[in-house]
Parts: sequence; structure tokens; C-alpha cells
Amino acid sequence: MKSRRLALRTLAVTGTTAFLVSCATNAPQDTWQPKGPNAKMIDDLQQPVFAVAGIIGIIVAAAVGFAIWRYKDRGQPIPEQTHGKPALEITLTVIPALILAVVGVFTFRVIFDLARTDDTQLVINVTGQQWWWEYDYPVQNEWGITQPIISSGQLVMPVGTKVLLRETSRDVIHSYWIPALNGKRDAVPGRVHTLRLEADAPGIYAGQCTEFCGLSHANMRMEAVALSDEDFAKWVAGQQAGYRAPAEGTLAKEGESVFLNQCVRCHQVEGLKRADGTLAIAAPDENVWSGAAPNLTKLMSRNTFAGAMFDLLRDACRDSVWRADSAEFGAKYLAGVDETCLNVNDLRAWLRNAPEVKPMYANPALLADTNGKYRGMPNLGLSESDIDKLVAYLLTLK
Amino acid sequence: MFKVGSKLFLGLSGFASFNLVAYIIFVERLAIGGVALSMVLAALVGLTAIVLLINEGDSESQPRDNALTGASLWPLMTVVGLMLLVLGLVVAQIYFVLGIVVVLAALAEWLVQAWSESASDDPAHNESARQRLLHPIEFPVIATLGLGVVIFSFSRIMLAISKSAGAVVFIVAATLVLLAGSWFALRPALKGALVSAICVVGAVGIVAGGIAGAGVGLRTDLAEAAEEGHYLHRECGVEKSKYFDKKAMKTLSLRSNVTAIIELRNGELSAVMVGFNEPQQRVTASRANPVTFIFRNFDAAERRMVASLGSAMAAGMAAPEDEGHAEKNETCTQLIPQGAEQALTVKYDKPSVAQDAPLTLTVPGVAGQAIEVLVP
Amino acid sequence: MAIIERPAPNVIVPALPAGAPAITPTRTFGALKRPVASTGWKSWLFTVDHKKLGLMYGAVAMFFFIVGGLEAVLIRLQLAAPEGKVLNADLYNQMFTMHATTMVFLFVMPMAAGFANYFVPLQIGARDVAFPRINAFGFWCLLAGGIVVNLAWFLGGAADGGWFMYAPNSGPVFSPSRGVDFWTLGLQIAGIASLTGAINLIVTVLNMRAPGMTLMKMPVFTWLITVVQFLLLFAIPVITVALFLLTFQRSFGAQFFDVAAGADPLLWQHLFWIFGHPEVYVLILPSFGIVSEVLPVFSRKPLFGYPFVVFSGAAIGFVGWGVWAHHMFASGLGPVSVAVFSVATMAIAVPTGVKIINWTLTMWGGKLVFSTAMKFSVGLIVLFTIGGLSGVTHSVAPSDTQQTDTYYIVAHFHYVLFGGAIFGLFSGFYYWWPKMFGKMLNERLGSWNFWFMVIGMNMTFGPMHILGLQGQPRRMYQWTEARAGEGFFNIAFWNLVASIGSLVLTFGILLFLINIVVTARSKVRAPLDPWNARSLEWMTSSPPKEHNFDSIPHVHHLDEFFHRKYEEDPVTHTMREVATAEQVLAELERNADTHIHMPSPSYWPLVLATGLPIVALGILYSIPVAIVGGLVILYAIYGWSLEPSVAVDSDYEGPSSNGHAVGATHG
Repeated sequence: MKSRRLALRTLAVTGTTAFLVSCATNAPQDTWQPKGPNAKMIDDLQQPVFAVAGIIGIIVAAAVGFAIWRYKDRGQPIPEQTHGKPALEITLTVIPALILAVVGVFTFRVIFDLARTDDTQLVINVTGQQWWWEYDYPVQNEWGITQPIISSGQLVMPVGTKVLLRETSRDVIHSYWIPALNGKRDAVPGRVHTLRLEADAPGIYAGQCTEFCGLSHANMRMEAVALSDEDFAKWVAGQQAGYRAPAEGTLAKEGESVFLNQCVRCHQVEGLKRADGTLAIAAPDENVWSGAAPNLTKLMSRNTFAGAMFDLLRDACRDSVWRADSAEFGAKYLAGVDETCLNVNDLRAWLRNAPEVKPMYANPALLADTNGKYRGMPNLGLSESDIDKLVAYLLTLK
Repeated sequence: MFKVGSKLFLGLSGFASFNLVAYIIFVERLAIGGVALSMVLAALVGLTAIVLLINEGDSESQPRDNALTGASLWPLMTVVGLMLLVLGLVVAQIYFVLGIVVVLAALAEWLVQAWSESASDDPAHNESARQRLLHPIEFPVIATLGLGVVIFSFSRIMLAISKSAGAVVFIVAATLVLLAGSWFALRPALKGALVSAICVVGAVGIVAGGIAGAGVGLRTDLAEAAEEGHYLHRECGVEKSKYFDKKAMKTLSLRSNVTAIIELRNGELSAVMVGFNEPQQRVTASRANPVTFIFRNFDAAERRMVASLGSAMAAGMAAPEDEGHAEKNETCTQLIPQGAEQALTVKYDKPSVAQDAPLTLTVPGVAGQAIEVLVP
Repeated sequence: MAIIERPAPNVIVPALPAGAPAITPTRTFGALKRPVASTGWKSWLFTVDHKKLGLMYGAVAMFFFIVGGLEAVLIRLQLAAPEGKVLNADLYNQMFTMHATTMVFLFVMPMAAGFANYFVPLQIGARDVAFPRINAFGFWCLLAGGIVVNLAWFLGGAADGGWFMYAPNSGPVFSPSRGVDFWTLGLQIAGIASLTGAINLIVTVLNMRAPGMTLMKMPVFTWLITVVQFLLLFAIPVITVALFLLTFQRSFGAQFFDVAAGADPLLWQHLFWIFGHPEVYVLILPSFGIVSEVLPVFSRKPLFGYPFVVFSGAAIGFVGWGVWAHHMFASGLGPVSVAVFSVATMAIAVPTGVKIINWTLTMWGGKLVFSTAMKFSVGLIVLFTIGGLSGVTHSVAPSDTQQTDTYYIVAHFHYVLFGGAIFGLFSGFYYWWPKMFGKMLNERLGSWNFWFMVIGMNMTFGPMHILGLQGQPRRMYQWTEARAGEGFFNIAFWNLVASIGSLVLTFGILLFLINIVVTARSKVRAPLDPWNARSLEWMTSSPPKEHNFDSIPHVHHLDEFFHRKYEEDPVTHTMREVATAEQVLAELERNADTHIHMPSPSYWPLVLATGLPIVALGILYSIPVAIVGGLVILYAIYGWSLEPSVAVDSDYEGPSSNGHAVGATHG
């Protein structure tokens, strides 16, 4: 009776495992849904390996299940005290070794293919920082990038292009991972690591930081956005278009002065000028321990903020962009964020008290260890009317 | 066993600690009352320890060693310690600390000696009791002090004499030790007194030499170099000091995955970066991020690479050690010979647009070549 | 009857006047006299007996198992729903760090050490280990280290950088609370326990085996424990170095991991994983050893392919040093390193697989009895295989770059550690409880215990495979609906299942604790040989006498005990019983040795182990305190060295007032 239950159990365990594996659904970060050639190379390699592993698992479970049913103590005499059959042993050892050798050969190929950098068509520098990602596009005239473009959160890239990320970090180790496009690569301070990305079709691909990096590691997300070549050229032009100051007398203009008073301490907007005509250059190195804050120059051209923790787009608008099919995606993405689609509540909550919505430093009393500099955005104590002005101003950053 | 006296003091200590804890909990900080209670507790714990140690709490009568109390070094050492302590109050703190240490050590020895003499009336038993208690601390402390003195003296000798003489002295001393040790090992029948005498003579000789060496002071080149602060000194131009660390020239900097490898080849500088198929003349470094460059010198002469840090240096930036360089706002590698490489880690806190002049990587002595560093 | 020789109750009596009290250790030394008692609470505090130390290791480990388990339940409660509110981010980070640290360093390692301490000397026919006082020191160090690590909870927050504590996040800037310091110093102290234990057991196994017991006649448990000790011997120094570097970085301003000064954070990763990979073999091999003992006993057949099992264990010990960077496939090592380590990791799957084959073939053709111990062992075979196969999928480096740092990895190591290491330990509990305590754990409760643990374990960790493949990273204090996917079987569903499973698992473990209490209260004594076992440790009373064996048996076979009970009939080639267990034991007692010298208890190991946390606290709070701790350590080291390992006559009390000699045993 007991052994039958045991036999049933081993089969149940195996069966359940098989069932569990087969029931995965479409999560945005699903690792078995490749959308680019690099991820596809990995998937093509891992599927047979999983299959082989599954088969071996079933064989072992079946063997054990059979043994515990068949050889249960039913009163038989003490069995022959065999000490082993070396030939059988060696055979059963050599077979898995051979299987693994074959797997090893294929693995070798894929490792080196994924490490190639000589066929790069576009280079983007990625810098991780607690708890957001910064991208800077070095000058590459063939893509129309004539001055460095700095953005954060959403990595925009052209479709079907071999993009190479050069990753580093400003503080602790982070890891860049867009599962649909490739495996992850750690971003280590003081080092530069490369990661190939290539998307087959336009769309938005979700990702997350995958190396524990402190309090808000769970909230450090990003997306890769793939656009057709024309759309990418439009995006580049848009990013490099100069600064458009808001009209005098508008709420947005008042927001610009609030911005100059409060935000410019850390956040850079290219082309923003102070009242006396000088360029406003942000000084995050003096106020933030890790030395930088997201560049907000074309904030409304992306649709997430605060390390992609929150959406800039409201629900229906968001769905229409995220679920758009390949043909329409580019236009929808380039439309950016406007007043009707802005996710005002989350943005206001952030401006009102950022550390409350995203844990950023455990204990303000510990600021002494960082020379009085913040780790993450502090609570600025803004009034509601200041927030109104700022939201109006931020909407003009497009 | 815990006798009545020990139990009394243990109970009092427990009561005092309970009071202290209650005080801290209710008053929520240490304050004067807490300090006072702590001192009372410390005193009680001390008394408890002494009582346990010397078994004064035993109310039954003990057989005593009724011989006259023997000679003892410890009263004198206590006084010596007290004098050092007082001297230290006047002259320098180090003597005060030394005085405290000597007083405590002497008092401990004295206490234990007194206790052991009343343990029983068998002097052998008393002595073994004293040894059992104190050898575990006497052995290591005396050995450390003795060895420390010998080693320190030897170091003074080596610092005073010239380099070549130093090598000779070292070899001679080591050979003598080896010979003496081998002789002792091969002749186990040798008298203990003879062995001790030889060791003492050797040690005294070294100590005497050490005193002489300390009197003479450092040899000239060491003294000059110390004045200059030479090994810390980093010229970012032509090397002026003759006391810089020449061995560092040959240091290979093993770094992988750097931001860029800057090569000086045929009088030209170029930057090799992963992801770019050809060498570049411009490097992008993200702001406020420590970036590492490797400099490779293929030129025949010894060269160094200099990174200009710009005029708008941030307050928190690590400045080069030498003040003169802080004004020039630059940092650099050591001089390296042909075929060698060195790494340089730099952090640019301000962007290029905030600088008066472009940020560059240059090699002094090679004109017209620069790698521009763009900090967005 | 064996006699432990104690000195005759003579006392030093120099010429005393009549009627004067005798000189005794109490009179001279008071509370500082050498402990010699073999009963009472002092006999536990100052013991050097490997059996008592083994039990103490086990009790401490069990306590920390419960602590670590509670930490795990809190984690699962937080993750049962999106944006959970059970724990805030800071507490969550502390919780997962401490859960892993507690389970690895304060539960599995000490529990295995407990079994090793108790049973290795018994299995090789020795009376104690080679260095009994070092054995005691190791235990007290482990306790001190565990206390130091957990003190952080009460003194400003526990360590929160993950159990592998990557730099620079572990540095003073990014982890400003003292938690990481407590972690570092506590593990440093606990590491001393492992290292000294390793040296001790290696010397014991190499030098103190019973006559006739060659290395290839040793039980597999002892063999694998020996391999573990060699792994520890070389791995612990590496983590010691890493912890020193981190201590100096945090407490004394060193710049080992300071990137602006030119440091490379990968240094910590390499140091940690060179220790960390052999460490996982340290965690699993003792359980493999236990299973290799249990399966033959309950299959009534010897272990299939004993030489293969032994050599594959040794092979794992060797090759295990060459695979550490498979924990770093995404860390930017470069394709050459990645390829080499990927292939090496595949290679190490082979010797591990050999064992699975051997265990299965041990059962094949046997006469299987499904006691609770056997159930846990069979469970280990299946569950460890699942964990091992998911491990093989990680060995494919490109695939691992998708899997690493996700819940897929969490699933893998929980299958091998829970389904492997912990199931093996539970098998050991049920198997060896009668030997250690003279009573058997209740089999009915044990069955319930087993089933709840199996079901709970699979419910908790099975879904994690899916969670990882669906893209949920690990070490996240909350997950969101936005990344959870659509449909019923999305991330939300599997997280909920896993959390419910953890409660089922908790109940299963509670049943084990209840079983312990019920057994302690029961009056039923276990028979001498309840399982019809095969190895030497069963040739003793239950629990064994202080000196283990009345006479050291001469060993002629592997499974010596079995061969004393059964002989092969030359005609029918079946096994027939020629002696009962009681008869075998009686023969040993008849030939009892008359003079046995056992090592005496001592307080120096305890004193030395107490000095270490004082130094640790001094480093954290006040250097003078550290100096005091250092002096205590110095005093204890020399006191220990100058004390003989067996107490001399003058350490024993004279006749007390009622005429009995205190501290002597009677023949």
C-alpha cells in the first residue's frame, strides 16, 4: 500500500512538473518568446536541452517508481548481495557524458556568436545607476546622430539592426535584461560590458534590472523600443531638435521657473536658459551620491518615468501604444505623451513625494555617510500649485 | 565552588547590572546616572573576580605556607609603573599609557603571587598553581616583547647602514643563527646555561647595534627621500625627482573591460574601444562615473599619459596628492617603457559643456596628439 | 566491562597536621578548577565528547532552521500578491539575505557537522576524534558566529546585500547600517568552526580507523564527509580572505572594492564563488552520504557500485573547483572564460548522475522497507534529479543568461538544497534517532511529516520554474501586475500557489517538531538494532557509552556489522542469520578493554570562542574592547596549549565528606 502510494507520488511529481512547464503564458518578460535573432539563438539552443532534461527526468522517475513498486518487501528472502556491475555502470555513465558533449559543442558555437562585436551597426552607451538606466548615443553620423543624445528608461533603436550596448554603472552592479531580445549582461562600475540587441519587428520590449542593487532594485525597469529606419531617423531628429521655451504668461512658463529653482540642481534639460541668458547646467554631482539624474530634455517623447517604474501614459493610451501592431507602432510611439494621455496622478505623486512612492534611501539619518548627498530623488516639499506649474512645463518637453 | 563571599559579590554584581539595564530602559540613554551605575557595576565585577580568584570567600581555615614571605619584584614594578604614569601626565601621553599598562601588569602579578602563597603550605603546589594561572599570559607577552625588541633593533641597523652593507649584515647574521641553531640541534647534550649564554649574547649584540643605529639615524638617501615625500610624488610632466619608484615603471596593469585603450604608436595617439571597428580620436565617458583607460606605449622612449580634468572640478572629486597638480587639474600614469601598459581611473564630474577647454588625454613630449574626451 | 581509567582517589597530602583539610582543586582554584565531571550541566558546557558536541550542533542547527524558515514564510507572504504590504523594501532585503545566510551557514552546515561529529568516529570504530578540544572549540565558534550574525536584527537592522553580498553594494556607502558588518564578522567566526572541524575530521579518518578498516571498507557516509572536509579545508580560507577584505573596507577605510580608486568589483565575485561553489558540494555531499547509508539498509542489499560512488564523490571534490564562474556567466567575463566554465559545469553533472544511477540500482532487486527514513531517501533521489536537471539547463551559458537571477535559479537551488540536502538530513534524523536517543521517532507522524513536506516543497518551488521562465527576477520586494502577463496561469497565479505551498511545508516541519516532543515523552525504548543495519555505529548501545566501544572491533568487510550477523549459505547462496545484534554486542563487551583513557573536558575552548565575538564587537564599536578580546584569545590559546589533554591526578577532588570520590567512575 505504501509503496504504491510512493510510486504514484513519483509519477505525480513528474507529471506535475511537465504540466507546469507547459502552461506558461505571455508575460512581457517571458524568456521563451524570442523577438530578435540573439534571443532566438538562445531559444533554439535551450529548447532541445530542456527536452533532453525532461526525458531524462521522466526516465529516472519512472525507474524509481518501478523499483519501489516491484521490489517492495513482500516476504521475499534477503536478496543476493550484488556489489555492482561495472560494465553497466560505465555504460550508464558514458551515455549522459556523450549527450552533454554534444550539447557542449553547440553551446560553444552560440557563446562565441553572441559575443561578436565586429558586425556592430549602432553603438549605444548604457549606464546603470540606482535605480534607473541612462542611455547616451555617441556621435555616429551614419545614423544622423551629430551630437550625443542622452535619454533614460526607454532604449530606442532601429529594427533589424545589430545594436551593441556598452554597459557600465555609476555605483553598484546592475544588470541589463530585455528577455525578448537577448540574455542579460551585468553593468559593473569601472568596467564596460557589451550586449548585442536586435529586434525583428517594431514594438516595445519589456525588461528589468536583474542584479540586486539595493532598496528599489524591484522598481528598476526599462524597455527597448524598436522603430523602423525612417521612424528612427525621425526620433533622432526630434531628440536633437533644440529647446522650445514655453510662451510667456502661460502656466508652463511659470513651471519653467520652478524647474530652474528646484529641479535643475540635478536634472539636465539641454538648451534651457536661466533668466540672465546663461545655459542652465545641472549639478547632480554635488547633490546626488551617484552623480547623475535622468536627463529630461525630451521627457514626453518617452512613455515611462522614474526608472520605468511608472507610466507617463494613461491606461487606454498606454494600451494603444503597447499593443499596437508592427505597422502602426512607430507612429503611435513617436506621437509621445500629450495632455489628454498623461498619467497625471502618478506624475503628481512623484513630484509631491518621490521617496514615498519609490523607496530610495532607507534612513535619511544615514546621509552623513554619503557626504550629505541623496541617493535618489528627495522629497522637495513642493506645494500643489508648484506641482501644477511643473506638470504644465514638463508637458512641453517634447 | 562558590562560597559565601563569592555568592555575595556575584549577587551584588547581578543586582547592579539589573539596575543599570533598568536605568537605560527607563531613562533611554546613558547620562550621568548611567555612567555612575556602570562604574559601580565595573567595581563590583572587579571585586567578584578578585574574590573568586583568591578564594577569600572560603570561610574554612586554610593551611598556609608559614615560611617567611619570599622576595618579590612586584612592589617595585608597581612603583615604577606609577612613576611612569605621573611622568606621562607631565611629559607625553605615551608614557602615561605605558605606565597604566605596567601598573596593571605588576598588580596582577603581585595579586596572583599573594594568592598562590596562601593556597596551601606546599611551596611546590603553590608555584604550580601560580604558573598554571599566569603562564598563559606571561609566555606570549614576554615572547612578544623580547622578539619585538630584537626585531626593532635589527630594523634600526638596516636603516642606518648602506644598501650593500645591509645585505652583508643580513647574510652574516642569518648564517650565524643557522650555524648556532644547527650546533644546538646536533648536540642535545650541550649545557642549558651555555645555550642561554650564547642566545643572550647574540640578542644583546643586536640590541646594542640597534641602539647605535637609532642614534645614527637613517642613511642619507632615505632621509632625503623622506623629506621630499618621494614615493607619493607624481609629476605629470617630466620626472624631476630622483627618488620616485622606478620599479613602478615596469608594473603591468591587468585590467579588462576598460572604457578605452589609448595607444601611442609611431607618434600618434588613438583610442581602441569595443564596439567600434576602427580606432577613434574621441572617447565618450559618462558623467560622474569612474572610467578606466589603459595606456599602451609603443614608443621607444619612456612616456606617461596625462588626463586633463577641466577647470570646473567638482568639490567631491579626489584630488591628486600633490597640491601643485590640483591647480593644473590633471592626473596621470607613471612613466612606462616601450611595450608596457598602465591603467588610469578618472571621474569627470562636470559635463564638457561646462568646461572652458575640451577635456583631453595627452602624452607630454608628443606634440599635437590628443584624444578628446566627451562627457555629455 | 570496560573501565575508563580515572586516577585513584589519592590526594596530594604533604605533611599536614592531623585534622587539617586536604588540598583540593576547589580549595586552590575555586571556580577556575579544571572541569572533570561527566554528568550534569557542566558536563555539557565543558564537554569534548564528540557525541555531546554532535547533539549540540544539531540543536543549534534546528533552532536556526526554524529562524530561517520563518524568514522564508515572511518572504512568501510578501510575494503572495502584487505590491505586497507585509514587508517594506528594507525589511524584505534583510529578510532574504538572512534567510539564505541562516539556512546555508547556520543550518545545513552545522547539521551536517553534527551528524559527522556524532557518527564518523562511531563508523570507523574510534572512541573520539583526533583533537577533541578543537572539536569543542569549533562548536562554540559556530554558536558565537550565529549569535553575532543575528545580533544585527536588534542593533540597527540585519545585513541586506544578498547572501553573496556583492561589492560595491556591500561597501560602507551603499550599505551604511551595521548589518553587513555583523554578517561579515559573524561568518568569519563561524568559518573558523568549519576549518578546524575539517582538519580534525581529516586527521581522525586518516589515522584512527579500527584495525582492518582500509579506506575502501569505510562506510560511504564517512567517505563523503571526508571529501567535504577537504573541500572546506581549501574553500574556507578563500572566504576568509574575502571577508577580511570586506571588513577592512568597511571598518578601516581600505579601498579594495572602491571603483574610483581603481578597484574591480569582480574581485569579490571571484573570491566569493571560488568559495561558493565548493560550498554547495559541502552542503549536498553529507546528505548523499546519509542516503547511501539508508538505502542499502532498507533495501537489504549493499550499495550498488561502492567504488564508483566513492570515486565520483572524490571527482566532484576535484572538479568542483573548476566551475565557480558558472555563477558569473552574465558578469562580463568574456566568451573564452564563459565557454570553459560552461563545459566544465556539464562535466561535473556526470559524477553526480553516477550516484543517482547507483542509488536506483541499489533498490533494484532488493527487499524494500518503507520506513520514514527510506521515504525521505527515495524522495531525495527524485527531487534532487529534478534540481540537477534544471542545473544542467543552466550549464548552457547562453541559456543561463536568460535564467540567472530569476526565479528559475531559485527553483533549481531549492530543489537541490531542500529536496536534496534537507531531505537527506531528515532521512538521517529518522534513521539515527534510535541510536542517539534510545527511542524511535514515531513512524506514523513521520509519514505525515514526509508527505506534507513533499507536497509542500513541490507546491512552493515547482511553480518557481515557471515564474523564472516567465521573467520574474529574484530579490524583488514586490512584483507588479504590469509584468505579470495575461491569462489565468500568469505570474500572479504561480506566486500565490508558491506562497500557499510554503504554508503547507511549514506545517510539515511542525509535524517533525511535534514528533520530537512526542518521542521525548514516550517511554518506549528502541531495540538495539531497529533497522537491521549494516555499519559499525550500530555495534554499540543506544545511546552509545561514553567510550563508544568496549573493545574496538577488528574489521574484515565493508558493512562489517551486517557480515557479523549474516553469512552466505554456500549451497543456496542466500543470506542466513548467524548472530543477532545483541549477540554481536555482547561479544564486544566480553572482550572489553580494561584501560581506556578518554580525553578530559576543558573550559579553554569555550573561553577562546568567547574572545572572538568580543573582538568582533570591538571592531564595530570600540577598539579598546577589541584589544581586550584579543588578550582573552591570547590567554586562552596559551592556557589551552599548556593544559594536558587528559586531566592529571591533582585535578580530581579528594574524598568528599561522605567518603565518595567525586568525578571518578567505578569499574
